[in-house]
Amino acid sequence: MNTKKWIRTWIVIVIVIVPIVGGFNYVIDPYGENYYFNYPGINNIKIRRDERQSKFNYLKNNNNYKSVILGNSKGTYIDPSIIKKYTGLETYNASFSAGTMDEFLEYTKWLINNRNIKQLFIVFEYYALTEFNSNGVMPSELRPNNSFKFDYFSFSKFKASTRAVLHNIVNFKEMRKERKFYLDKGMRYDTKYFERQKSIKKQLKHIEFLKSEKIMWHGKNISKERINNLKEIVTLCKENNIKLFLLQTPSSYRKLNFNGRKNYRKLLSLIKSIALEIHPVYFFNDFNYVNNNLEYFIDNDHFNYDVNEAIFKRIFLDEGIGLKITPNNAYKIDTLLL
Amino acid sequence: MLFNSYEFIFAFLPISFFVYFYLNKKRLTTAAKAWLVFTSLFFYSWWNIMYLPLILISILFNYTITNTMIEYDKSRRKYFSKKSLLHAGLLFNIGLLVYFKYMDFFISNTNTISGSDIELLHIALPLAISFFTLQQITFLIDSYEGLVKEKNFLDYTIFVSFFPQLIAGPIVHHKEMMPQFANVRNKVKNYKNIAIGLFIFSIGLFKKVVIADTFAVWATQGFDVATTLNLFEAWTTSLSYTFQLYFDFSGYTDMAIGAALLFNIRLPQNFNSPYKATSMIDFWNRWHMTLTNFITTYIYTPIIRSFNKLTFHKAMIATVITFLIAGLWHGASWMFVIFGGLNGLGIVVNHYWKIKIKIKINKILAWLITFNFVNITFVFFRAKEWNDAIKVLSSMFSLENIVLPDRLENKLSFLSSYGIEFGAWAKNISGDFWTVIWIIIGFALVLIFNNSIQRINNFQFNYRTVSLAAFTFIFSILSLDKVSEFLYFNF
Repeated sequence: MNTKKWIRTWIVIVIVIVPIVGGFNYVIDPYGENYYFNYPGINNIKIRRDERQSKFNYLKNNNNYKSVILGNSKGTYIDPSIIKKYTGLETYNASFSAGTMDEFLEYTKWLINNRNIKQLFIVFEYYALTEFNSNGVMPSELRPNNSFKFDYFSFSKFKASTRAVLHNIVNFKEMRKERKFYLDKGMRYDTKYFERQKSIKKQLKHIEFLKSEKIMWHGKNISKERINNLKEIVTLCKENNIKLFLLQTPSSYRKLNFNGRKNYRKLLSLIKSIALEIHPVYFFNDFNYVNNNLEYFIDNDHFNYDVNEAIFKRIFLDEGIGLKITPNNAYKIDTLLL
Repeated sequence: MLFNSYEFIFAFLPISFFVYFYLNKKRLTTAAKAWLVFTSLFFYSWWNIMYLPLILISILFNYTITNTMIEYDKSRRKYFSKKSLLHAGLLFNIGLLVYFKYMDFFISNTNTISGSDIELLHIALPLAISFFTLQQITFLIDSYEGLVKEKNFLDYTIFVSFFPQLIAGPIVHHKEMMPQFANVRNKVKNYKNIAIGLFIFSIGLFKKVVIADTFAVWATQGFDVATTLNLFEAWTTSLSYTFQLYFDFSGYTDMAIGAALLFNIRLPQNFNSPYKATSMIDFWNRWHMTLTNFITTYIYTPIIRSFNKLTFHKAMIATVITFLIAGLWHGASWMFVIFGGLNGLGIVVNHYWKIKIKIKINKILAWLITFNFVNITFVFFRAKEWNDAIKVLSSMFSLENIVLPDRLENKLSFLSSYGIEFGAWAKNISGDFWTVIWIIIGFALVLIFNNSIQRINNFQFNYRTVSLAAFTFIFSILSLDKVSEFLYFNF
């Protein structure tokens, strides 16, 4: 082989293989970044990577939702089909772990600019309005100074594409089941919950676990910036005729009692000030029967599927657990402070 | 700009190459040289254009001084001695290094010793300052010694700033570079050089992107994140860094050699399978060879010359001093001084053994001692603080923290009575089964295979070499989504 032929061969191999890999990744689109080619049984069920990015990708590529849930991990357990039942609006659950108010604001802006939504649910925890940093990475499109990243020519993505194809072919039925819960709704799929439902022994063991589980409260100081983020969301929703629901969803009594209720008191003060100054809050941590019964929890922070219905009965029928805290009844919070 | 980036591989390098040879083809050789200077300075400025004036001032000042020294003997009016010019040049270069690299180190040590509270300057270290300063010092000293005749400004600027070796070496000597830039035959495309350049560049890219960056994960976890390490984790941490450093730096050097070869410039060899060394002297003849040459010629030899009568002990003192300086050259930290000191002592013991004790050691045992000594000194090289180094070293030599995988518990449960635990054996370094496999691969690569320079010396144009080059290149290109810097960029 002479030198010129050697160079030509090198160039040809590179020019042929690199675009093949890039093209394969683009067509398979393992994480659902472009949704240009969707073939059932080959690639239409995507691989989960980062919850923030993959849910955003889904929302970006599906224009049929008129109602969106933004929230933290507790929000991910909300079944959007219940909202559809009450409002008739197709709802997507875009909640993600450790979501904070600054992130919700960026999502809200994007939804207003790119989608015609009619209602917005924000499920927030105390830390969402503090200086707490979750280290969650927002989708690149929502980040300030967003820089274009073209990563289809990537071996790691090639592995993901191959995995996606194999999953679609081999585990098609299993993934259909998961899709029913997770992908189309954005809802978190907790198989353990359904297993526990079937076995009393497992359920008892689970409750024992919850009784000994270590309790965590994130976030210390309230962030003025994030309070302003919430105010901005409220203003944006008003300006764009979007019905906004702020939700503080149930935690277990163990979580609320933690640290001599010191953290709980801080939470109550926060809820009261939001209700008085910013927007009414649906509050579900008033030591109601859900809070007081560990059977309703996956862990001390996250309620299970059964609670969904109870939450939306309060919101849409004004009955059952929880309180709607408004400027007129904010005094009710004071009774809980005692 | 990183060698392992799309912009360098697919834009900067091809454009620089084609324009350079186009200009040469049109017989615009000065324009071609100017183009090479421009591309090199562009390459340098890509990081931070704020550093550009610094390198330009450094080049201009050194060129003026050396040019004056070259012309010195011819000029009639002599306002100052040649030696004072040399001193001015050395003062400028060393002053630049001290100011940008060591000022905060000196201030914090002064504060510690005297109890004073002088504020640190927090000066950002300009990229490649250690490398381009060293090269200019060699040129300065050789000009003083009358060993330099060249005085073409463009040639000098290319010698200092030639982009393949500008950031992290190899440290080049003007004697081997300037004639190459001046050689007319090098101004024509040479397909043999292009093919070999592509080959070695591909191998270097693979070493960096695929091998070094894989080891980097465990090294970083072990040194910077983990608070405690078990025996396995500690050894994996140190070995991972030892392999990462070699594959990272030798990978960079290979890419530099490959990129330079595209322009018909041969850069010197920097590594010769250093982990095959069977003594410390052998190791330093194989590791960062251009630095070893520099410190031997420009630090060790002048110290030796300064002694009235040379004895074995004086030579050994000179060795330790030289290595302490070399250690400090790597960075403003006592960890680098310890690294240099340990290596200096290693060389002294090696010389003493060779000359005074004269007992031959079995080759495998010699390798084992050398490799482990090097591995231990690299712990100091990597650790940011003394405590980090001690964390790794104490766990490497403690038998109280042995953890074996769960799956072995049934077979080896009797070991529990000796304090051996079963459970998360690599959790603190984010390791798993593949970590062990990679460590084995690391040993195989450094001990069994020929190094890249040996490969190009025996290079044959056949389908085997072209496939190897193409697949290492493709695999590396497809792994570029996680771009990381080269370790020696920090020095």
